[in-house]
Amino acid sequence: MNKKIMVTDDDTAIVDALKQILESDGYEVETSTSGNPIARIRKYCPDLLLLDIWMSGQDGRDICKELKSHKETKNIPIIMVSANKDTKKISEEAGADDYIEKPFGIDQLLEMVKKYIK
Amino acid sequence: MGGKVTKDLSVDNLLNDIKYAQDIIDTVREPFLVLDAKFRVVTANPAFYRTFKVTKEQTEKKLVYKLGNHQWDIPELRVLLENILPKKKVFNDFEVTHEFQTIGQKIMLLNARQIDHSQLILLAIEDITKGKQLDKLRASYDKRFQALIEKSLDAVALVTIKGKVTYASPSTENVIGYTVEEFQKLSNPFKLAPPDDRKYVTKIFEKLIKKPGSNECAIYRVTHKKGHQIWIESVMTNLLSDPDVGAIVINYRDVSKRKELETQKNDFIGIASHELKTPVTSIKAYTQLLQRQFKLYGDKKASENLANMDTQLNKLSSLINDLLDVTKIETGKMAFNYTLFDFDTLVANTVGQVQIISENHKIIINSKIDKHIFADRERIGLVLTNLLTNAVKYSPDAKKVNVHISEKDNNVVMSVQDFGIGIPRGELGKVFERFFRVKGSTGDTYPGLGLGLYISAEIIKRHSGKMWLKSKFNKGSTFYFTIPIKLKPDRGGIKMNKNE
Repeated sequence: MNKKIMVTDDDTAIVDALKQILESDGYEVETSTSGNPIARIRKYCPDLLLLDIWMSGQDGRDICKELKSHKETKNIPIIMVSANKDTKKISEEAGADDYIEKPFGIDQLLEMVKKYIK
Repeated sequence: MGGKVTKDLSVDNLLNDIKYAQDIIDTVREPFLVLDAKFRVVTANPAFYRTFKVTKEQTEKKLVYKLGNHQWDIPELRVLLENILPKKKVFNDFEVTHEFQTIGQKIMLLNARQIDHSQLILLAIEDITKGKQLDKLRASYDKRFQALIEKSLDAVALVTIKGKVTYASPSTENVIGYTVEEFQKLSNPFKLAPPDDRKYVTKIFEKLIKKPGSNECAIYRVTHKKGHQIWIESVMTNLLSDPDVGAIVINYRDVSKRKELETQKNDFIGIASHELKTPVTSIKAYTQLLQRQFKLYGDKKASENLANMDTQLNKLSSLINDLLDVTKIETGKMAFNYTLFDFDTLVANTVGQVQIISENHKIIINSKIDKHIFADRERIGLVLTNLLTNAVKYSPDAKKVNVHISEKDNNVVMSVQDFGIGIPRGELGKVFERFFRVKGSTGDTYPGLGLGLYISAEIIKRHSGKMWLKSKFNKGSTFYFTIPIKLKPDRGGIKMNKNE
């Protein structure tokens, strides 16, 4: 069975590009571009979550903290994605497993994904 | 000669006295007249003739009031003169202003007295026209400078070496809300600044008082009497050893408006560059996706084109990053992520990356130091990238770039040498300024925002290092920087900007 990745970002273009890239590498991808994604994440149970820090209306940091504080979701690896230069600091504070700065290269992204999905 | 000695001596004495008196009369630069009891002129000195442009014939034996078209016929003078002989009076410094036909307006001080044991009056006339004019001029200058200081929007304060305010200009109240008296009662002129700012400006003040004649500029916050904070720009000049001033002169103004605009500008660039990054991210992702797809289908040309597009997108995103970095420098928000790393490896990796995109140049690393340093690896890498890409960019006709690493006084010393267009001597000082771009011999500029070296110099400065260059126009440039070799953070943590 294919590994599942959830992509959350309010920018539909990025979500679409990421979906194509990840699918072409054989992953199953679920996306979320608006609203609170927590319920969907719980339901979908991804093997990895790519989480944008600044989703309109939603703060990626809060989502990350909440997921990391619940037994059933705390083991989902979370990679924070942002155009913010302080992504590293922000993701550490939120308890994310890793971070990647926008704009990123495909290879860089796929390498990082591989690190968390074996 | 024998028996006639006594008589001869007395005649000699008399003759000597007359000659002596005549000499005085002739040499005294002030005009005077000797009048008899009826106020006729007995004699006048050469200075009188000179000053009033009259001759002996026009003057001697004439009634003083009739001289020069009755110009001395002044009622007060009559009263004064007529009282001298009968009442044995003296008058001093009687000021007279008179419009002479020949010589124009004169202001004079008249002094008169009876000449000892004679019925003669000595009337001395001091021409003070020039002095009066100078006084008037000086007064108007003083008034003008006074007005400049007092009406100026800038406030001025004079301060002693101990920080006591001895003078405050009226604009004090316009700038900080406190009256001159209230301001002078403060124990020092920086009392109104919040603690951090006070510390900063006091340090500058202390530096200033050590160097006579020097000046310093400081921008800091101050709490206005009404309670809000304002930004003050101060220019302080050490005039302690100037005998006319003997104080520190502080000239300051409210620059809150300017600061606000700067903040708006920085916020705008910050938001704009963040917003620009989002579409760049998706364009970059799609480009790479397409590149993979074409590669898969075997369309080599399209795949190459997309690779080139990706390179251009990297340039675009590094320009956006430069803009973001500049706003971070200016708002004091540039954060550093210190780690311990091997310097040689970073240089080798960075040279490798720049070499890939620099086909015409061979970048040669000439030495190694085998040292670890504690610094922000990514940002030092950015400095190296900037220096290397500049070296390549500004030496279009050269074939190589030399990289040299050495150690001196517990510092890493790094240099990047090119054989390109160089920088004219007059522009050397501007190289690290924001938006500076050197022009080639044809006057053309090279592409770029002119931010790379500004950012690089700031990064090195924040690592307590130094950055400088040597350059010869049309021969090439060598850029140097140093970073202290440290294996752990400074005591008390890493020096962070107060805004972080």
